[in-house]
Amino acid sequence: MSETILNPNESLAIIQKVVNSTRQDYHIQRKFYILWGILIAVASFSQYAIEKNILSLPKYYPWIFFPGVGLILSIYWGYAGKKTSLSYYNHFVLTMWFTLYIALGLTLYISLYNQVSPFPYILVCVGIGTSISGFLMKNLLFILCGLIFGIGSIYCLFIPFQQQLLLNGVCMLLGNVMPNLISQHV
Amino acid sequence: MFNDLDPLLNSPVRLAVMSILLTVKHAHFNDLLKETQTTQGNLSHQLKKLHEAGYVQIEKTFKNNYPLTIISISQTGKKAFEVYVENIKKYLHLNENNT
Repeated sequence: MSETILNPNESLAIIQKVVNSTRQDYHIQRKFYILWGILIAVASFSQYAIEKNILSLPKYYPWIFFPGVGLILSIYWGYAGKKTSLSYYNHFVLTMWFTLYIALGLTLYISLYNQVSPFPYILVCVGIGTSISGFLMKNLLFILCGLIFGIGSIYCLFIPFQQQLLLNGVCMLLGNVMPNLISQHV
Repeated sequence: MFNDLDPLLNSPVRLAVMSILLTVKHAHFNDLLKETQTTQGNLSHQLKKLHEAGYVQIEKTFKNNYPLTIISISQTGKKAFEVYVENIKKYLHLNENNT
């Protein structure tokens, strides 16, 4: 069976067409970001409820339980995600967030050890990740949400610990969950 | 006429597949099918040729009990593609200094 032989012009045209048309956002796994945003927000609100004696749970229990759930689901989804197409962009973003979440875990541990509030640092970390994602996607919403985290981290310095918990939860929902939910339908 | 051009890459579907694989870490068979707009049989046939030449790596697995084929470009494939593009440039009298 004879095959179509391309001339250099046709070859170049195919390469240009394919590279331009190939979707760079193959199966963006926004569920990771939505999951972690919700879990950190719920952990913050639960901690607030514990601080206010609304919930009777051991102190800092939410920061063990919810990230634990996130970790198990992330490993499971990460394994399943290997079975889909993955663009270099998504690979970079997933690796960046994985590294940032490790940084968040360490920040939380170090802050608790030193008995200082972790929230300004947590918000800075998530803000950096959100802004970088926004710049890479050329998505203004994510860039602005990164700024929300930045403003939130500075505002944290001027409010008591209990209010920082609420601010952290609200920032996660507004700056992380909301843009990922909206962008899913763009 | 264009005998310097790698015959394995000098075919529409195979060239399209290699171009796609250069932009992704790995690709699902169905995504390649969608992007190349060819038939399942033809794509399998072309992938087999690329695989035999060592240009692509093919991993066959299962997802939810359905067979799943994951394809990625190999180092040999990347090198061959680079050479192919360089040869196209020569034919078209393009080089980096005047682009």
